[in-house]
Amino acid sequence: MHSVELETNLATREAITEHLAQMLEGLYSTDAMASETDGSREAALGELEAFSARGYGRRNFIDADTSRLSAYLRHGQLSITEVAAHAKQHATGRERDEFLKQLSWREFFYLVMEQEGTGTLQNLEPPKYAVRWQAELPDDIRDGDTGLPCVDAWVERLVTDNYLHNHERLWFAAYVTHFRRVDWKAGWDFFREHLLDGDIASNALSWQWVASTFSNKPYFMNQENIAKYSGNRWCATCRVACPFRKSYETLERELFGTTFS
Amino acid sequence: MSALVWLHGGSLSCTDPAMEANPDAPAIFVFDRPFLQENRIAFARLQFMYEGAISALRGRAQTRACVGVQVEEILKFAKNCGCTAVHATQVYSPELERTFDALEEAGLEVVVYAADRLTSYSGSVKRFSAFWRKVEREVLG
Ligand SMILES: Cc1cc2nc3c(=O)[nH]c(=O)nc-3n(C[C@H](O)[C@H](O)[C@H](O)COP(=O)(O)OP(=O)(O)OC[C@H]3O[C@@H](n4cnc5c(N)ncnc54)[C@H](O)[C@@H]3O)c2cc1C
Repeated sequence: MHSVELETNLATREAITEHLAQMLEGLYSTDAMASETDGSREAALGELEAFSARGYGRRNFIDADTSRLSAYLRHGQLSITEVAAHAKQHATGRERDEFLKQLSWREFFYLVMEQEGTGTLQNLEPPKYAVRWQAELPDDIRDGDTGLPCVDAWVERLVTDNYLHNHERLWFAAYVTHFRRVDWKAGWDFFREHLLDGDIASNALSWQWVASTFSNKPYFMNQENIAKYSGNRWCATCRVACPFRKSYETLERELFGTTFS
Repeated sequence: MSALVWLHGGSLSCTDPAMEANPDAPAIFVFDRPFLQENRIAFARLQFMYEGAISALRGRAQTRACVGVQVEEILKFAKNCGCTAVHATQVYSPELERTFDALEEAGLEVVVYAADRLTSYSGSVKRFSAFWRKVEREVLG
């Protein structure tokens, strides 16, 4: 297999795009478009400086100002202690503590992966409901063409911004695994393809947490939950038959054939 | 024993532990062709990583960034630089483990640095709530 030398002193992001588009031809799955997020250590430090954790108490709302540092943590431009030290210095009270707790999820998932090794990419526990998941991600999901405005918007954002808010990730994962009965590994792979922060630990283990192969019960949401945390972004104008517009009890019975509460 | 630093996808910074321990050593970053042929990865991810890699390599006398078979390219670079050891930071992944093993089999010494940690916790882990109870004071302190 032949090797190709890469230029390391390109002056602009556009020049990098052009160079890599050529040199990596055939080795990427999308158009040759850079994300808005610059991957340099210098850019990472700029983002860290700009983050104050103000408003982090609203972190579950998809328009909240979360740090957007995950990709830099994933690829090492920032270290976890550096980010924690910044939060301790610049944030206070509940917001500070909540941010540090979220950061600990990352540490937790990495410890689980170290403990489980390649098992992280297999079901760590049996699913907590009777289910046969299909292996492949259906094309309508991959193409953002399900007809459900919220789901299609998550796919669009994933593919164009290479980022999703944590709540959107949870909703999408629940839709894929429970409402469409697709194996979480297909969802994990789709996220890894597009997310700048896509990794093995946080990604696979979060999917497993939703699927119930790494938790005591499956995670799922209903339309009320989506409407609340999205500020009614999609529901207000949505006219489709909504699979999520049901009570939790009804959804539990329909999706899992049992109740967990 | 002269060392080179291998920058992988989890260590793209001049502050990476292996980089900091070897400030004057040659350093290399490789896009692994077989991995990218087997796995779907968006272009945006590759550019993001590459920007991290070149900003990490900047300022070093001897560097190399390339596309090829990871292990082969690291071995070639080691030979050209007269290095007998590869230093890298541990971030668990199956591919990383395979690369470490292959480099060792090819006769290079592999020196692995612990990745940065938020806590000193070293017990077993199963559920976040139990983990959080054990580390909360250390993390928030
Ligand atoms: C199905 C699914 C897949 C996910 N895949 C990934 C992934 O591939 N890579 C990844 O880094 N995160 C993943 N997450 C976790 C989480 O969604 C992102 O880390 C977070 O949304 C990143 O945004 P932020 O940097 O603004 O987070 P902030 O809220 O600002 O949090 C700060 C940092 O803490 C860490 N963090 C926060 N929440 C979590 C969490 N729930 N789990 C793990 N770490 C967390 C991240 O490193 C994040 O950058 C996934 C979550 C789900 C539900």
